[in-house]
Amino acid sequence: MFEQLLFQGLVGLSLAMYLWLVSAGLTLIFGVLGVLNFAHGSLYMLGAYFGYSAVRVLGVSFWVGLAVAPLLVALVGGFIERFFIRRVYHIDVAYQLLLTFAFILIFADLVKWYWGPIYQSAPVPAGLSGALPILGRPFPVYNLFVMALGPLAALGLWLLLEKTWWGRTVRAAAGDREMAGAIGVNVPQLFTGVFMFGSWLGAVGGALGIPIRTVSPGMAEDYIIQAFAVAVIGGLGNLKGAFIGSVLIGLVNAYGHLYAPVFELAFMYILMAAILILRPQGIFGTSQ
Amino acid sequence: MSGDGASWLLRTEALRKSFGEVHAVDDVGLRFEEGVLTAIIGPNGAGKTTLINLLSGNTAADSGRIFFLGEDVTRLSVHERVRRGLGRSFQITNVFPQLSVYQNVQIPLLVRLEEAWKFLRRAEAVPEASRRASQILRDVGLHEDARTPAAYLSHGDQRLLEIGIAMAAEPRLLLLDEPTAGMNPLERTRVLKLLSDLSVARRTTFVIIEHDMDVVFSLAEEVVVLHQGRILAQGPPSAIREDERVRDVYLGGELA
Amino acid sequence: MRALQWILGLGLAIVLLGVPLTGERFYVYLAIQILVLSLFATGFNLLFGYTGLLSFGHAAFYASGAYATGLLLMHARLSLLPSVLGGALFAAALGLVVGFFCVRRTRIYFSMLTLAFGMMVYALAFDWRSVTGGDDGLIGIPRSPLWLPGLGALQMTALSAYYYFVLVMTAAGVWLVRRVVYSPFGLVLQGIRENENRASFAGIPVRRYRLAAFVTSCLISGLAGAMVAPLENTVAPTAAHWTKSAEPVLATLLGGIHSFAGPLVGALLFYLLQELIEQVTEYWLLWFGVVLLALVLGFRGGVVGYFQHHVLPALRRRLS
Repeated sequence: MFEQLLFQGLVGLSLAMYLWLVSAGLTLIFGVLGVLNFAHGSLYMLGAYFGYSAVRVLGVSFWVGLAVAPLLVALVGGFIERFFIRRVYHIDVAYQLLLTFAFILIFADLVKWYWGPIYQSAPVPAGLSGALPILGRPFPVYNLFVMALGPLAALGLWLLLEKTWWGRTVRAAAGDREMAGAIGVNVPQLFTGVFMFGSWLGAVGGALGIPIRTVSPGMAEDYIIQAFAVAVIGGLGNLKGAFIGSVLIGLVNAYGHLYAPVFELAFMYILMAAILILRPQGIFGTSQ
Repeated sequence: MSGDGASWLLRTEALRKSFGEVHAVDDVGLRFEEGVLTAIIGPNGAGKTTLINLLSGNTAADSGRIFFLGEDVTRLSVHERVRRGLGRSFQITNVFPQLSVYQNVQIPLLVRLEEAWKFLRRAEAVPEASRRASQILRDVGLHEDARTPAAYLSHGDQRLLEIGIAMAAEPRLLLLDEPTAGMNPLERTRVLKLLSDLSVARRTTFVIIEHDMDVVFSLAEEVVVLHQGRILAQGPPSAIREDERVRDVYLGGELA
Repeated sequence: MRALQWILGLGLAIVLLGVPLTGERFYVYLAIQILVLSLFATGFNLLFGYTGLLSFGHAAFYASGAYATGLLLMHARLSLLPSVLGGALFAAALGLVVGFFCVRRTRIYFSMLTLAFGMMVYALAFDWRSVTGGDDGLIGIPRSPLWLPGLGALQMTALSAYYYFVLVMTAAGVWLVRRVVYSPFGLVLQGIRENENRASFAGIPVRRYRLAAFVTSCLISGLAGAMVAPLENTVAPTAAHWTKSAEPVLATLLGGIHSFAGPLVGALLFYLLQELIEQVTEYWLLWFGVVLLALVLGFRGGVVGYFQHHVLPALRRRLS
């Protein structure tokens, strides 16, 4: 019984790390640009599709796909930011939401058009296949890999934002756009860069998911809502919060699946709504 | 100066508000008498804006109490205070931009007349609101611009509209946060004349926060000087002008 | 100008009344769908265009109206009108509960809350098999007769008959919203949209008004959904999905959020556009996304807004 609990906890943690990789990008973009990118799930999905194409169609190894796919998505993200999002920074937030929403529709069909509407999948890369017995049950090695990657990514992000010149500039611009511009930072360019980086992160999450999740046009929706939930719970724009939020949602999902599968879907939305109602700045955000 | 219990509209007791280490408002006890136009002055950071935020209900006090018309309003929200007759205008123009000038004053009037909940009759079909709206617009001199969207008015006209909207709620006491901020001398004269006329014609007592000493000394009957969150001095303008402590605080600048 | 409005109104009435006379079942069905969406969008725009709150979960109320009406028709065996009104009232009640939480927050947080609640309803519709039929939904909803005092039971099995019912209900709903919008209450809502802080300082309990607007909006949207249940004889969870929530958003933006007629015009345009696009390609989501982009970037007033700000002044110049 206790073992089952622990095991399910591990399942939850591996789910959490996927979520973290997806929501990190969303959180970063919101924290710096103030834009809630509804289309982030679509970029995640594109990462999965590009990765899938690389492996299944071009025949390269999974690792090459993982390296290349997110870069392509970063380019797409840059294009979106430069030519569309940049135009709506100064108008009502509602229009920003509507703009990114439009991209969900566009990408959903684009993906369907190019890759077809059916489910696809790719095999787990050699070396990470199989399962290890943990607590008496088989636990996929690949999931362990992702679980290790999650905290590494968190560490990497932290180092990037705290210790590098770019990171410091980004944080300065996030805090005060005008001031940053006044001291010579090319804020528009920086913003495009951040958007591209955030898209890249989301796409990495997507590409990493191909071996174990089916790649389909509907995947964007599932993940974007979950990424939102994570971002909200942790505190919109707060990376540390997003990490903890992912862990929370991952565990809620895993335990919910086990003990109350009927309300599995609803649990997460309830938690998200609860946070928005009770403490909209999330667990780690500061109140306005 | 302020008669005990006689005719004070607004009264505070030991009002306190701190932001971290800074005591923005520190143990302030004030009385505002009906019909006495009062000005609150003080150097930057003296706590004037915080005080007015506490009085109007934008900010909650850490401790202390606020009484309006004898009632303890400390815990009341902004709109509840407005309903009781305690109004406020803003330093930064705060109107309804896309609505017409007429609609801008119509809204607080409808609320005042308890008509704002009606959802099936036409807004135009409340004759009393229409009459009073026209009156206010005439008073502030914007009658001709009634149909213009508020956003298209000049800055000075918007400030006048600001006062009009605040007056439309028919407050007993109106807190005016730097009513002449950002105005050229012509506009300033217009506003001052308006305030002077209104304080005579209507039952509203004005409490003005101001930086401009000319405004203070031409309008105010009573002056309160704030410094570092506390009341430094209080009295008629002539007395304040002579007060040494006040002089020190202003370093002989603006009062000379 | 007024003469023009009267002529347009009369023409519109003639067209609306005459649709079933064309004899084409397809047109009647399409007209019903347009009417339903125009009501849905009008309800939505009361909240968005007039009160300034963007809801991404309005399909939840549309679907609640549909499910409630379906259940009333199937199990309570009520006649058509009480069932439809019951559905609308259920949606309004749900709106009261959901709105109570949502109006505590504004802007992004409000939108996200509505999204969360919307998906919650979707998840419930999907999971609660015993009540909603799960992913199969409700099947076999009867299109019960319309019982009116003095006239008895009017059969609604003919599509044309049902069309007139929908037309009357839609007209009633739109009339109600129009009265609200031009009332003191409606003016206050616009004030709240323009400047929430100023509204408080005009003595308005902002949250209460927002909630009232929310509930009214849900009532109207629920009514729209309620009329779909007897039309299709089924209700599925997709009626609560966020893609359904997008329909009134698109229709309203297309028509114009700043005018009353906007959602109505937009609903017509939505279906016309959809028909047009489907002739050419199956990827209509893509083109809707493109249209939405164009609207957000350049035509924020929608078609009606464009007409009012560009076409009318030009026409006036020509005529004078």
